[in-house]
Amino acid sequence: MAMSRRKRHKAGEPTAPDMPIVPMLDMSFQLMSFFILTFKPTPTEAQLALSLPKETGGGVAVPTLNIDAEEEDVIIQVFAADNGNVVSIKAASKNGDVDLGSDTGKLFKYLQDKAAAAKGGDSTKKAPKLKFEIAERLNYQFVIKLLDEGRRAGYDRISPTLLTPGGGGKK
Amino acid sequence: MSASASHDKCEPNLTPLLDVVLQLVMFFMLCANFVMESVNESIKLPEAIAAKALDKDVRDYLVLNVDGKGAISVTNEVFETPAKMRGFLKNQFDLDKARTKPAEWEKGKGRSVIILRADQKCNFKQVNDVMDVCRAAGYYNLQLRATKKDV
Repeated sequence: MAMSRRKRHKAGEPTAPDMPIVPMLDMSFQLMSFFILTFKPTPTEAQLALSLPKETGGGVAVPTLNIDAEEEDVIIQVFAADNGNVVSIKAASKNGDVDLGSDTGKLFKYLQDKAAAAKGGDSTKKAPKLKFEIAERLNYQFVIKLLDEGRRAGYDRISPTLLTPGGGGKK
Repeated sequence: MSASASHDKCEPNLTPLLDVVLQLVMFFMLCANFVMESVNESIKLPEAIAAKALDKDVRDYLVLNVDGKGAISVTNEVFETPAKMRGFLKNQFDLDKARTKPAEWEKGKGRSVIILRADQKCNFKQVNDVMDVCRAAGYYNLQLRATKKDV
């Protein structure tokens, strides 16, 4: 009769479970390596909202002579060269066009002044509508820059349209 | 009495290390984005300072990706010209109308917001043609997407 060895446990002595942590750590490192290698920080994307007219095919610019005296929209015409770069920016008004050069700094100042004049110190009043008449060849990056300047100047209703064939292109 | 030679093993405590590693894993898991948001990553967006994040109230939106050649990609479909997209937008418009209550539809609610992701190499005509097609289909709420630029 074989005598089986028995482990003799002393009465009252608790048995501590032994959990191997090393393999678990190995797997965690594997998982972490996977997520680190597949991690790709994305640039923050945001939107510029537009205020488009409801009529279809509304690509034709509003003639500058038909400005409503009661609600004067601010109309900015942007001319472009064949390579898509901006040539000149003009503000169309009843009193004559204002040349703003080709830099957006002057445009921003002009838009700010126009918005302030329209509000007349009343902060609850909305800025007038801002319409951009843009040459078809203008680089889209510059289009966004124009809309951005309009937004920064405080205009909520911005509408870009195509410049009339007579006024577009190189100037 | 025999003194048994005890070999003292010096093992580092791995439990805190495992805790930290699991924290890192959780971080990267939360940051990982497995769902493609119908975004064409080859399109390089222009930058804008005043661009705002999408309103949380907007639940239904459609992302149109326009590459430098003027081709438009929406989810899994690619349209070479904006005119070829008319049928798709019309179907989308009908879908929006079908799932919106008539009373709300009359008030102007229920239409998807169109988000335009156009490459910075596009010219204005390419983008304007897409906007015209969207308006012809009945979508007037358009937003141009740009990369947020810090001042």
